[in-house]
Amino acid sequence: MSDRIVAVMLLVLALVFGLQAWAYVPIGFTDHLGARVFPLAVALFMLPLTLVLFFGRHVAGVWPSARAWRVVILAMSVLVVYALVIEYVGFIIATIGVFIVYGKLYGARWWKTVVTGMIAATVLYALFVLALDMYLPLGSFFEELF
Amino acid sequence: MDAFQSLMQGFSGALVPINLLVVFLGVTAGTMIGMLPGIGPINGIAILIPITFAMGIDPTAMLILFAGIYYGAQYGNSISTILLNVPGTPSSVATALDGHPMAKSGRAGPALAISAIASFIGGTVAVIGLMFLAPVLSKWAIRFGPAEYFVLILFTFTMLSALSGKQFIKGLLATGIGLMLATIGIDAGTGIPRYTFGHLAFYDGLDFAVVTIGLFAISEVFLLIEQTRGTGEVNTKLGRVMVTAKEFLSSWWGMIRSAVIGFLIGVLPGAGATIASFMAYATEQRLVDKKGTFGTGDIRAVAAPESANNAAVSGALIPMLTLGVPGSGTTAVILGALLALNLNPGPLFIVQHGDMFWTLIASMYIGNVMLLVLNLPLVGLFVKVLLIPRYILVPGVAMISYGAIYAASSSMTDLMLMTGFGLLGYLMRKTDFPLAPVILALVLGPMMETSLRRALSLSNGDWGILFASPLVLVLWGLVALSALVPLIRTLRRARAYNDSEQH
Repeated sequence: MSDRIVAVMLLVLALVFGLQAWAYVPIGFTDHLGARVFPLAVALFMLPLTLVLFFGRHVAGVWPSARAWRVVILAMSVLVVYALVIEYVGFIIATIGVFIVYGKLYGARWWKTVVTGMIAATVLYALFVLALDMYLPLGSFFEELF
Repeated sequence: MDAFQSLMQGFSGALVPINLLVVFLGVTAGTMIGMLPGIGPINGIAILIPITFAMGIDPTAMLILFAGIYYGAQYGNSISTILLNVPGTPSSVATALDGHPMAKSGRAGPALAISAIASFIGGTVAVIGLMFLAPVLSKWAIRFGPAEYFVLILFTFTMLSALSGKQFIKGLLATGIGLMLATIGIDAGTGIPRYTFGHLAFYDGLDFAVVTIGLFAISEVFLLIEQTRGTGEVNTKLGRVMVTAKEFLSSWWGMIRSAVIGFLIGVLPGAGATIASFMAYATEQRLVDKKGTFGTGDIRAVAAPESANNAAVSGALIPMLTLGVPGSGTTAVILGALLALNLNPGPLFIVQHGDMFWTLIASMYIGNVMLLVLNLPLVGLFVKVLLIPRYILVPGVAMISYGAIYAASSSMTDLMLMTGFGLLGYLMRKTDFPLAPVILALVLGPMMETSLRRALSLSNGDWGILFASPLVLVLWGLVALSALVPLIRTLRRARAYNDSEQH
């Protein structure tokens, strides 16, 4: 069953990809290949394969269970929030946040998640910014305070 | 002798203190990366790419570092395989067959020792092979024109899909996904932006470090976090990590044979360490397993696959360096890093960057010696890493990845993309799609299109050039062969399935 879901998704993807490729016509001078032949070929390569996947009998993979979906979506949302707030709250606070939520998913104690988060965030900040001379935000929120 | 002189020059380059330090860092990091779940050499290297670029590190040192992580990870991988029965990569599955039974019967020490020794022998034999074969192959590869390159890349795709251990069809579809991702950005030939949907961030194409880390590391984070219960007890008391002279001698010829098998298979595109280790295991079983002790904790059965998978890893560098066409996910990532630095591996690489090539070879000799030292007396220290609790390890892997990417690009889009690719990788793992073809296609896709474009401009638009030379026809034959064999296997399996359902 999971293979059929994937096959339909890939079929739609290949169709959209191929149709979009049709639009890539260069204006004026062009070489022998042009811009659309290669992506069209990729779409044409994939279309029959998706059909084989749909109609063929395969050793089925496992679609994630409802519980797995909940956990993974939570874990993913945390990373999305991380990306959204990192400039505002800074690398250190954002990192500690991820450690707390992930730690709680593993059933670790509060204080342990906070302490490990603080240590990891500090070490990573020191590594990237002080040792490697790269940029990580300290947080515009804190800069406004001072 | 020419190769010998060049190698000596390579040693003088590799023995510079800074390069020695880099080799040491590479193999140490590689061992730990190979041991821990959730990282693996492909992620380790992908995470380091933005960091090394930001540091402006010398390309030779970068190559030495990445190679060190690459072969060092094989050593580390065998540690977790033997102690935990958790092969970090498929290439260690054959080791688990006898390695874990040995550990369970209280012989973890000798098992770890022989795997370190076997890895050393495999690595060393392969480095010697690399030294002699690479210059020969690159002389031969000069005859490759653009049409040959196009078909060779196609062959690499079908081989990797056929041999990735999953279903052939899924390997090919994964390749297709990678090729789609590769077309995003401004087309090099016509200047038309493709699949950018007006977003400037996509004009340069996808950053392959972002894609790789997302697909491999972040998906692994999701996979680990989904299984929050029961990580099992780790026994880190090893006893004496040494083998007796008798044990060593009984494995000796097996290790040499396996190293040669592993190296030759490693050179083939797409085949790699997994096939190599199983072939070596099967060969030794046929040759020396008279009493049927393989599978119950026979030391010779640990030595053979460990020697082979290490040799295969070094062998896999050959197509990457001499043809510029990598055969595996990890070598594809290394190639991507070299391309980003405007170093183009290929037939002329050894001529143009001879110092770099020979320094790499010399550093691999040195690295293998370091790994032997690290893994024999110090393995007791390394295994402590396995005690890191999951609630630290899992967010740790995620935050190193996000931190490295953000520190390099300061781009929120990159972080979002990485998360998206994490979900994609998670779903692909769940539905049994291989991930390596995606990366291989992402790196090779632009090269494939460029080769086609060059071939067509050579022939003035005549597609017949794709079938015009004997060499290119041989390559087409290989493509057909690598596609037909798994197809027949699938059909036979399908028929057996139908039969069993009807009766």
